[in-house]
This record gives sequence, structure tokens and C-alpha cells, in this order.
Amino acid sequence: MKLVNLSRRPFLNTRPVKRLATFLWVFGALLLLINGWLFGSHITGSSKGQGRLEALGRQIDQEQEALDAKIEELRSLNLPTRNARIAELNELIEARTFPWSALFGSLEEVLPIDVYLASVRPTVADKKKKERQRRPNRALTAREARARDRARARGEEPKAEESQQPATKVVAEPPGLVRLDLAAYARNDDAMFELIENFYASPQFEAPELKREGIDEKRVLSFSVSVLYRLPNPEPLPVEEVQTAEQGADSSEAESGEGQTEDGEALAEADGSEGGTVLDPGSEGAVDPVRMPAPEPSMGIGNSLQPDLRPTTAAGQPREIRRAPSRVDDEALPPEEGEAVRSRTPSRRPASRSASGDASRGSSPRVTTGVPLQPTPSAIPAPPSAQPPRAVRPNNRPTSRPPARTTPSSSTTRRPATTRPPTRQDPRPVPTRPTASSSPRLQGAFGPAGGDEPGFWDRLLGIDRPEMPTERLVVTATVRLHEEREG
Amino acid sequence: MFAVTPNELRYGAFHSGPQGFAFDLEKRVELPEETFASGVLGGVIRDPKGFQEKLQSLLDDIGAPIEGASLVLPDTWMRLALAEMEDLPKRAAARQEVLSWKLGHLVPFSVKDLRISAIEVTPFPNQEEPRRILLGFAIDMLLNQLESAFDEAGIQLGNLTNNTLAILAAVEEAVGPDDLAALVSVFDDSYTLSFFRSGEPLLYRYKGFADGGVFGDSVLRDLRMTAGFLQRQFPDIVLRRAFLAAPAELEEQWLGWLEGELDVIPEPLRFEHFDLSRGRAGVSWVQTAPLLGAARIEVY
Repeated sequence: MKLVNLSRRPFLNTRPVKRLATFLWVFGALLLLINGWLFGSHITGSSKGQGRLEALGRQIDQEQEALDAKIEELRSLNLPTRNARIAELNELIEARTFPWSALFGSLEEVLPIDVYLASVRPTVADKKKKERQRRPNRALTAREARARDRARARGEEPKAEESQQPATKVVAEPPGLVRLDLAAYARNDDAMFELIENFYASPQFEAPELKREGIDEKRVLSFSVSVLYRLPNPEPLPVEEVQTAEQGADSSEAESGEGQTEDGEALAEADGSEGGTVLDPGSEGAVDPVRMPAPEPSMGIGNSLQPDLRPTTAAGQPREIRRAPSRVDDEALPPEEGEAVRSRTPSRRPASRSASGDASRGSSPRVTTGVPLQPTPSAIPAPPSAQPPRAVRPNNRPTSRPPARTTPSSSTTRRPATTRPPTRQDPRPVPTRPTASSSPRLQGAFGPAGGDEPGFWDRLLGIDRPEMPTERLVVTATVRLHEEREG
Repeated sequence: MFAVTPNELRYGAFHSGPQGFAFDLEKRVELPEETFASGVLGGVIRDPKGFQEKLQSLLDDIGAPIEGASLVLPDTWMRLALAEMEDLPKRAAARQEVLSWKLGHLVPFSVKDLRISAIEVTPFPNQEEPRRILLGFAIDMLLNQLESAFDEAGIQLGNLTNNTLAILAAVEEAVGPDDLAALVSVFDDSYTLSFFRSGEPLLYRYKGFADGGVFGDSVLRDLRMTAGFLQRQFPDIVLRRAFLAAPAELEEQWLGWLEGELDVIPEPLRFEHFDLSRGRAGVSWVQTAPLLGAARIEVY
């Protein structure tokens, strides 16, 4: 019933309010309990977390102290100075790591008697050059195929990997192999091919590649061979540039004077003038050669390259080098070969210089003045005159071979000055190949004690070029290596 | 529940149970003559202290502490009026001003001395204004004196109503939800004719006689006019019941008048008309019904 109420303070129905208040109180009490429980959990958890934080803080402090100690230790090491010193030592080690003695020993085994070396340049390609030289394999040239055919005809099957990857194997050699670039002179093609065959047959060499071949103005067969040399110690060379024993333009220019440079140029001119086949011009695989030590002024006629090649024995002792006579008598050469022989016969170094110069250097092997070729007596025809006639090649290009000059002491054991392959239509008789037994032994001041016994370095072949001006006299210093087996 | 008349202060206690209200206690105290001043709307308490003593003696007689109570006033002291109005303001002061202005046009009293209250009831179908309100008013000073007296006794008077409204609340349960019923409260010098439906009054008429006698012709004419008014306003609604709360010596006369004019058999108030679980012997239901009604109002 809705009735009028005149009360100033009317009753209010407070029951809903009281019920709501009761509910709110209960709800608030429940929230309070929950808050209390959460607060308790927070207090408990925070205390645990605080403990963990303190432990972590202590651990961080300890780590920081250890780190500071390490930093101080590193600072005390003076790393920049040490690094510089290490780099310097590494350079020194790199300069001395290449096993020259073993290399020359191996070359001595494979080098025919009619071939002498003009330069030996081991190459370790750097990364750039490796990338540049990653080119597809090319086909064999005619000469290379012929050389392989000959080797197969003799029953010497080339290695499988060589047959699959002929001549232009990239310079990125596997560990333990070093690319050797050899510049050499040969009396004839047979000697050159014999050298390549010997490379194939030798376990120390792999993948020989005939880079260049030509006949210079003096009718001398010059060629370049690239071959992989297996290091005795299979550890790869850690260097990118190694020492070279090249007697070339680059190495001799600053140290041996003008004559050295002319020799390198003459070699290049010979390639071009004689129209020889250049298989791989440029020799991209080679790195900059290391400067050879300057030759001593008292090294005899002409300027000779003297790389500081000091082969040592297995025990580490320096090997002795038996220096060859410095001159070849012109009379000992056949008339047609006289000029050529002379051009390849370097002046013999005086014995007095050898005694004094090498004595001051101890027993270090040194490449000295060129040694004349030593043909066998039967292979050397008597020169008809002091000035041999100029031979005329099929292309009507005159060739002159200076008469070889031989020393009297070695006149009885001379090798033929030059040997021409029959295919060249050379009217000259083909000399017989010298044998090891017929090779003269270089004796003298560089020989071992006892004098008669041949030394380790028993052959030195060289060429002198008397027709060249004095100031352009180029003496090619080569080392003919021969291992003494007869003893 | 307290009920006050010019010469008596009564108290009745009820409690609500599952089977309805139970009449627990009835106390009364006689008030001396001229406790209240005489007037058309009653009069102020001439001796508030004496009234306070009487109240305290009644409370002492009750024995139980009382914090809140309802007070039933005589229909003469608290009048009711129905009026059509527009929307009332929501602010209390403005609302009170509008009600005073409206009441001032309805009754010949100075409204500034009146305490006015109003509720909105269902408007008549054919009324001009959109709203219909039931205005209750009484002398403000009298009400203040009564509230002060009860406040001093520690009792809050939360409900001040009159006798007829309280009886309407008491007999509400005896009438159907949509039934139209009539209640006639008869006093010595006045009577009240009220019609109610669905828990709210539809018509309320108070008639007093200054010379102290009720004239039959005036009553009959008033009854006839009121019945006709209702018939015009609610032609489809039939008066179902008519209750008579009259003193026993006037009951027979009024039953005849009502029966003759309202076309319904009037029913004097009995125990059966209330939702009481138990009654009390020797109780005048004309005097007990207002207390029960006040209790129902308070509980609601």
C-alpha cells in the first residue's frame, strides 16, 4: 500500500543496504585474506630472491675480479710488441724453411747430363694467384703428348692423376708439394725430354709441365719447366713468398749488376728470335723472387749470380760444393758448336777466389761462375777453326754458335757443347749422350778432403757469351747437381 | 505502534511470522482533557511535558525498549486530498513549494503551517492533468511536538499516518488485487469515505461536523454523489467490498446507509479481515486495525 507519510525522519528500508554492506564486508575480508596470503608469498619469495641476487652479486664480483686479473695479465704481456716480434721471427723462419739441400739433391737425381739449369724458383702461390690460376684444364700440347707417349712406350706409365690433369695443373698444390719453375738449357731435345721423363719417373716430382721452349741466337735450346716438388717434410710452407734461386732479370737486377739483367733478357729474346714454342708464357704461378745476395766482385770473368743456396747434409752440416772449371777451351769443341759452347760456357772462377771467398763463407754452397759443359771426348769433334761457320737454319735465319771454351784441365772430359735433335734437320752429327761415368768430375778447392773424390755438387754448367759486350756480359750461373753414386 | 487521539495514547505490538502477524501486546494510557488545543485540524500540545510524562508512563508499562515506532493520527489531524498535477520537480524544495501551492488551492488552510507530503497514484481516465497525487497534510507544529516527545523517549517516529490509511493497509489483504473496495471510518464528529484499488487510494473524502452531530441526509447525499463520481470515472469497475469501521453504537445505522447507497453489503471490521495468526480476546478491532495497518506499512 502506497501511503502518505508525514514523518520528518521516515523509516528507510536499510535491509538491502545492510545486505550489500555485509556482502562487501565479506568480500573485502576475502580480498584481505588473499592480499595477506599474496603479501606473505611476496615476502617469502622476495627474501629468497634477495638471497639469490646476493649470491649472483657475489659471483659477479668474483668473475669481475678474475676478469680484471686476466686483463691485467694480458696488459702485462705487451701483446703488440710480442706480435711484432713473432711476425718478425716468422718471416725469418719462412725465409729459411725451404729445404734447398733436399731440392738440389732431388734435382741431381733427375737432371740429365746434357741439361743444365739456369734458374730454380720454388713457388708457393698466394690466395690471389690461386684464384687467378683456377682455370679449366687445357688439352695437352703436341710436345707434351709426345713426351707422354714416349714415356708410355718405355713402360713408364704416368701417374693417374697426372694423366687426368695434365700440364696446366693449378698452382693450388696440395700440402707437401711446391711448384718449381725451372729454366734450363739443353744440348738437344732428347736431353730436355729425358729431364721431363725423369720428372715423371721420380717420386719426388709430379706433373712436369713444359712451359716454354726455344732456341736462342746462339743455337742453345732453352726451355722452362714447371714441376711439383714433393717436400721431404710434408708440412706445407706457411709462406707466400719464398726464396728463389733464379738467375733472372728480377733477382739479378739489383744485386748482380747489368749483366744479370741482360741474361734474363737474352733468354727472353732467344725465345722470341728463334721462334721457339712458348707453351705457357708469363709463368703466372711464380711469385716475386727473393733477392739473391750480391755476388762478390772477385768471382771471375763476367758477373755471376750467387744465390745464397747453402745445401746441407742430412745432419745439418753444410755440404761442400766442388767448383767446376770456369772456362772451356775452344779447341775442345766441334767447329760448328764452338760458338754455341762458348756462349754457354761461363768463365771459370779462379781457384784463388774460391779458396778465399768460400773459405770466408765456410762450407756454404754457392753458385759461382758458370762451368762449361763437359762433353765426352768422342762426342766433341775437333774444331776446324777458331771461328766456326755460321749455321743456316731452315728458316734462313743465321745462327752462330760461339766456340766453347774449355779449360785445359777439363778438356779430356768435355761433354758435347750442344746436341741437336734429328728432327731439326740439323746437318751436324748428333753427339752421343754423355754418361755419368764419362762426366768429368769437378775437383779442386770445393771438393771434399782428399781431392780425388767427387764432391756432392760435382757439376756446374755455365755459359759465357764472349760475343756480347763486356758491359752486357751475361753469365748464367747454374748448378748441375749430381749425386755421387759411384762410391 | 502508537495511536493517539485527543484523549488516549495506545500502543500495540505485532511481530511477523510465517503465518502472518501476531498481536502481542496492547497498552494504552489516558490523556488528560485539553492535552491538545482544539481546531479544525486538531491542535498543538498544550502541555508537552505532561504529554511526555504520559508517554514515559506508557513506555514504562510496556517494559521493552523501543527504538522506532509508527504513530497513527486521527483523520481530523491528518487530512488527505487528491489533486491533478503536471510533473513535479525533482528538487525537494521546489517540489514542496509546488505541493504547497497546489494544496493552497484545495483546502481553506494556511499551508505555511502545514507539513505536506504526497504520493503519486493512478490517474483517472478522464482527468485533465497527466498526473494524480495524494496529498497528506497536518499541522507542522503538532507533528513536531509529537516527534520531539517520542525523540526524548528515545523513539524515532518513522511513520506518521492517519487512521483510515492505516486501516486500508490492514484490510488490503482481504481485497483482491484489482477489486475496488470501500472503507468508511466513522467517528463521533466526522466520517471518512475512501475507495481503494490495487493497494492505492482512488478516492478519499473526509466529512466533519462542527456542531458535533452527523446528519443522515448529508451522509446519504455524500454517499450518493461519491458513488456516482466513481461510476462515471470507472464505469466498468464494480465495488466489491465495503468495510465499516465505526463505533458499535453507530454501526447499525451506517450499515444501512452504505447498503442503500453503494449497492454492496457493508462489512464491519472483524478478525477475519486481517492477516493475523492469532488475535486477542476483548479487543476492539476498530481501534486495533489502525495499529495493525501501521505495522504492515512499517514492515513493508
